Amino acid sequence: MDPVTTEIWMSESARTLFQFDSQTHLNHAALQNRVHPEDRALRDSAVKHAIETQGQYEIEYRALLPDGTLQWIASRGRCITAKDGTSTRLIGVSIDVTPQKEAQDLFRLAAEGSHLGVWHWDEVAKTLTWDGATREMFGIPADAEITIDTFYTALHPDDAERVKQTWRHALELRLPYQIEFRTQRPNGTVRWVDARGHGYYDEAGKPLWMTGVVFDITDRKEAELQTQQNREELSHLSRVAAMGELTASIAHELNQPLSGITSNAAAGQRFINRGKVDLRELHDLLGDIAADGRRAGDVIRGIQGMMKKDVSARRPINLNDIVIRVVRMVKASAMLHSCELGTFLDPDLPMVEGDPVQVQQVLLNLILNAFDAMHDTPVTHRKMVIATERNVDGTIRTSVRDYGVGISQEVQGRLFEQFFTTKANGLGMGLSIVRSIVESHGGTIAAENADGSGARFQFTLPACAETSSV
Amino acid sequence: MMTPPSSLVFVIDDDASVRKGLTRLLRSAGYKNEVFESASDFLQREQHAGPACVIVDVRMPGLNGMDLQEALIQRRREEQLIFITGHGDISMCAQAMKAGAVDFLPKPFRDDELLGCVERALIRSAGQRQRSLGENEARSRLGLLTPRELEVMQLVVTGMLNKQIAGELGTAEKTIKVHRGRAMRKLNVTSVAELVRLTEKASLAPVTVV
Repeated sequence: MDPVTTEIWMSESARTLFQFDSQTHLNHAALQNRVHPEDRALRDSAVKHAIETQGQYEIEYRALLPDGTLQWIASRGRCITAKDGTSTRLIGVSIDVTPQKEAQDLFRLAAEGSHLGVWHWDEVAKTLTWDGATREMFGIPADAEITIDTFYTALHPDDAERVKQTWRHALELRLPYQIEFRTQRPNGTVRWVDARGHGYYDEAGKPLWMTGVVFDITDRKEAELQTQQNREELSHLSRVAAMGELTASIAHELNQPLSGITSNAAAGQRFINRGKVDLRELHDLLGDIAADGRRAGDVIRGIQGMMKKDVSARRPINLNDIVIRVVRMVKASAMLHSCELGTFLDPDLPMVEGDPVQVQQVLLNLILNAFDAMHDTPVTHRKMVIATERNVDGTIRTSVRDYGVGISQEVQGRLFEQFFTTKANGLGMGLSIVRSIVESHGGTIAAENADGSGARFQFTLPACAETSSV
Repeated sequence: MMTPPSSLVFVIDDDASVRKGLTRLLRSAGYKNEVFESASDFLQREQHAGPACVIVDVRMPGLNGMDLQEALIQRRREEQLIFITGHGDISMCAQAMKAGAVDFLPKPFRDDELLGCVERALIRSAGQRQRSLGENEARSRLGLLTPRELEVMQLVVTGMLNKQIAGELGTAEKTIKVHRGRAMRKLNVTSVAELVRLTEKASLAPVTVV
């Protein structure tokens, strides 16, 4: 373009782009006519500024063409001056960037609509860029400078180390970056976010940059936590209910040592009153009292353990210990049900990773169900066998076999369903909770009719990776 | 202590703490005692000759307290039973008392309560023993009679006259008179009244409760 006459020379392809035929005489005004009215001032000032400063321009604007279409044009140009300094020309190129623009718009819309934040990390320059949504998510003002420390500071202290590790790990090992973590704003507000990113590398495999998105998942996380909490509360209720069925048994378990204590104490007093004190005998007697006191304490602790609410302490456990503990708990109950209780324990059992209280709950529920199933079994046939066994695939099977009514065909498929029960006053929660506990431990549970009569319930848990039984 | 030195107290409980406590308590009160882990172990022991009582847990694996009570009744044994229980088995309590138990104590029990029961049980056992001794003696005396003499005596105690007895048995009154005289001499009784007492003693049911 000639800055003085504003006359423009244009290539054929450019004329096609702007829908000018090859004869039309072109000048600045004619071209401005093709520009969307809202963008005319932008283009006009950019071009003029370039001429005045003998510099260059780079703009994007919308063109509104005679056929009614709207196109995005990316245009750049600069001033060149003849060697003698007499004349100046502005030369430049214009490209149709409509598809890119549309894609960008679409992405922006999607990003805004889904509250998606976009970030970019330049590994070479060590700079971090956040868009507005990302800043908002991390509680950073729009004009604040962003550095990697801004990011690290915004992390929840409990998650910071994990995020840094995952992030470096992804970049260095060229893995996709994906992590859920908490951010903590200066005012203390905690939000959950999901961040994902993808790295770009040079030919040598050195990381150049990583670009990614981040979105707020606080609502989903809260719902998850609520579900988890509901599940734990239900599981707790079920446990308390199961222990409720053991009250007679518990009373018995406490009355035994108490009876020992009172008898021994009374005997001691009588020995003293009669003036015939054998000190060795008195010593043994007091020792027995102390042992009975401890035994009663153990019973109480066992109940407290089953009654407590928070139970997410997983550790390596031996299933035989669990069986022994639960059998001790239900021993008196078995007597009340006139049921013979037998165990068949594999002495060489690997440990499993689990929450002892929850696994006890599983076993307790299965045993209580077995008692119920034998309600109509003749007293002489009431028998239960609890067995542990190592499967060929390394998992451990724990089974409870009763000699009760067995499982009818119509209930077989629904046994572990929520709110399904065959008991007159059952809630239908026990077995569904049992299954969810077993599954949360990475195991499976199944029920079948046993040979002869009765049913066998068995659950299988994976063994710990590298431990063996102690 | 009023009970004779030949008295013996048995303790049957599957719980070691309870056994240990009870054996000491009994010893501290001067009672000789033996403990057993199960009712079947106890039943294998030879029956004690003197007065005896058994403190037994109602609920035990294998034979329970109620089973033991039944077994002792069937064997016409006179050990007196005291039930102890870790549960409130009310229905069992009623059943046990009806079948002649001395008492039914919930654990943990007071020492004097239990020892009181033991004393009562042993006295009852001693009395029972006395009666059964009398019964045995009467029976052995009646055992001296010939079948015919016994037949005659059984009719005598109903108050029948010799003539009526003769008619009943289809024989002469004189023969009855001879049988009767011989029997009275063998039994060492001089009157019909004495004879009646002796036969009553002999037929006394061994397990009748006082």
